[in-house]
Amino acid sequence: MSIEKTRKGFVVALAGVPNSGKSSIFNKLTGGKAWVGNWPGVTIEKKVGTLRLDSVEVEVVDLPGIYGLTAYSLDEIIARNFIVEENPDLVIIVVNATNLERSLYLALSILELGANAIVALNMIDLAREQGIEIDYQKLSELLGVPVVPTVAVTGSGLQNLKKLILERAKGGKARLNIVNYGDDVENAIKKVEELLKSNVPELLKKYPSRWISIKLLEWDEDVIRKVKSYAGGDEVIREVERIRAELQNKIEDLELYMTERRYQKILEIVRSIVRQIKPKGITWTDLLDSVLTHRVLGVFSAIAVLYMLFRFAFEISTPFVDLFSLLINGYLHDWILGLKLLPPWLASLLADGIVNGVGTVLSFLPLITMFFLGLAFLEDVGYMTRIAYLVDKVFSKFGLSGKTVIPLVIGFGCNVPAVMATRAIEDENERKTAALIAPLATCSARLPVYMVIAYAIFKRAAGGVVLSMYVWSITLALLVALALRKFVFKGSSTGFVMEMPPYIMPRPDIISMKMWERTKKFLRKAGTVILIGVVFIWLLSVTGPSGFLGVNALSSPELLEHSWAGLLGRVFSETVFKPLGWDWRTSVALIFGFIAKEIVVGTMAILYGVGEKGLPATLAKLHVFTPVTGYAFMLFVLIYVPCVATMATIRSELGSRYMLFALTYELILAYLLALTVVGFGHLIGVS
Amino acid sequence: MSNEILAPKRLKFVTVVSSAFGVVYLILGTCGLLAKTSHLCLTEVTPANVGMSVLLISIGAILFSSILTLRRDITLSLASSFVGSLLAVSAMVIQVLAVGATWLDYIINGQSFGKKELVAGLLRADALLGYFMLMLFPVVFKTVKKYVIKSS
Repeated sequence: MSIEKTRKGFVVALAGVPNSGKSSIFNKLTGGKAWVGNWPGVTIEKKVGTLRLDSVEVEVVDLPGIYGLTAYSLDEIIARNFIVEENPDLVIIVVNATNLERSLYLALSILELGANAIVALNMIDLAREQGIEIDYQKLSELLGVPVVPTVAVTGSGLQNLKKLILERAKGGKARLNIVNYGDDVENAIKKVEELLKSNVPELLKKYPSRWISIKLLEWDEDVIRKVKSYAGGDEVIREVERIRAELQNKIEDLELYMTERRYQKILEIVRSIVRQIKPKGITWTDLLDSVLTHRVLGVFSAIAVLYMLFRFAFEISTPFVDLFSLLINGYLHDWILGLKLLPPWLASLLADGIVNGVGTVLSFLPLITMFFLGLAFLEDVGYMTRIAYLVDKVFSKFGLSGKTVIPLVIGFGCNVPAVMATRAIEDENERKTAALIAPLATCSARLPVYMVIAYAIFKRAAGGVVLSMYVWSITLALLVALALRKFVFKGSSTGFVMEMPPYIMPRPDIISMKMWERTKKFLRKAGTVILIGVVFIWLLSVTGPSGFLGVNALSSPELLEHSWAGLLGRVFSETVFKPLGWDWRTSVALIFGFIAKEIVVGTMAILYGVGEKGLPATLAKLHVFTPVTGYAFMLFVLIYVPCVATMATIRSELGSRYMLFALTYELILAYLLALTVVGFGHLIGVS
Repeated sequence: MSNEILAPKRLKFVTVVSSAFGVVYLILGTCGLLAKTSHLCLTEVTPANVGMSVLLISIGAILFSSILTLRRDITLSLASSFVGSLLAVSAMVIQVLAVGATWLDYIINGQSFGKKELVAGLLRADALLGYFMLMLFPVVFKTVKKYVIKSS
């Protein structure tokens, strides 16, 4: 959504480092009502809300949580492009009072960009608890912009912030030369500014000349591209190269030097505004972190917390899942089938296709909601950052940072929210990698498949066999990540730069808002896709080369064998699946499993003419699988195409190209691994 | 930080009791892992459930570390008691909720939920030990709170 099109009053952008309380301020200002769009040219979500001040409507845009405005992270490019190109009337810089240095780096970067800004000095209460007193009026003088102390959680200071928004949005002075880079660099900046003025004057209508000059001297590739896109830009770049070469005779690493100058300035500011009024003692956060980030006890805590999160989501949601299933797949389904007004095909389409489709999605809803509730709780109190910190060391060996653990953990519940959770990863390449490996986390829907096959074939060893699927899941996810980071999304892990936020009491409004936002997305995106998919499968099941087979095909294995689905199953079982030793029924189940993995067991039960409970005994009696082909089948189910809802989510997060990539690599990997297992079985004579 | 902040008796009480519970958690967690093969364990209290056993062992390890770290690092020792007992109480709450959910599920599916299942669920090791930890938790919380306030 373009800001210009919706502009009614003022446009205010909210910027801040992660964990500065930016989201809390956004929610307090907008009343939590936000609409979601995408940033121009990318599929990263943009949150926009409205704030009414007197009679003026203010549009509040939540910029991504960032640490600076470099060209290394997509989020940072998005933020600076928004500030420069969309030209908001005001930028509110949310500064974390308990970690001034890091927040002030972002503040200086935004001020250098020439933005009309105000500073919200947030978490001032926590700073006081830590014995820190901040002279915010002096900070205002030093930065040249108004500073308002706030406590977003309680809403303290937000009235002053609102007043200031109205005053400053009408116009305020930007302070471009806030950092002095020393005589040599300052002279170079002036030279580059002159160059820009004479060669690319058009560019300067959009960007401040000092900022462009600084970025060119830092050799910012995004800015270089921008300058080159103007006539005369190439000449500027050539001259800048020469100026840089001259400077580098005196300063070895120019970029590092300029960053250091900014930090020197920050240190000066902090020294003159911060006063330690009492010695820093032990806080609750220090105390809890001594265990929760401990290299041994931290792991025990993480195991306990994650296990309880899973129990909370999966066990406590069970009656609600059953209730939804009973009401929709049971009562509503039967009621529609019993409607005499409808022709049988339409009743079957509505009941078996559409209602069952919606039912499948809605039966997930309690589980998903409770999972998101638990996750939002852990995020809000500040615990998820600790888990990420704990695994960072191991994950960095695979080119990932600790933050990737969150999507992977969520993936063991459901892959859809797991892919969505990758948004929290700042580095774009790492985010893509995480989103593409998330479907390898074995979701709860795959568990019934493992259980049925394992109990049918492996009997007493079933538990260990099922557990081995989890080991495969984690191993494959890490190995695929390593391969992706080495060959596709090249680069090592960006490391874990997020500071540990202090633990806070959970806030019901924030938790429920986070939970609802995620659940809503699940319903909207996954729901529609599953609905269409199930209707499609219904069509394949009730029709065949001889035409309409009748709605009885869904409950009759003989009829179903002659449907398009049955035919497809035969084609697969006699060609690609032949070396794997799977019959047409299991092949059909795998095709149906593309819609949702739960369907695999249900389909097999129908095709073998038994209920789900009698399936293991039937599979054992009919010798459908040998231990080798059965294990290969389980592995295939673990890896092959993620369900339709996950595919749709990957498409919405990364685009169609990556969705196809995920689909292809997972199919190939699943097939090759299953084939290897069967081949190995033949080799050692256990097939 | 020295022991001067808290009365030594109170400190000792919290760490010793926490660690004693830690040992019980560790034993019952191990019993859960061995439930299928060992006849020494009470399978009613510690059924063969890998998840539950791992949870008990994790909580046990954290609680037990309280006494191990007492001389070296009082903050870590108190934090272990606090985090361990908080996790233990949470595990109990989750188990009680899970029993409630199973009962509700039986009703929805038109089945009867037997007294035996209810008792077995409510007396499972994670719930049973959690009831005792619920009594200890306020003492641990007060001690830790006092420690934080006095040390800052």
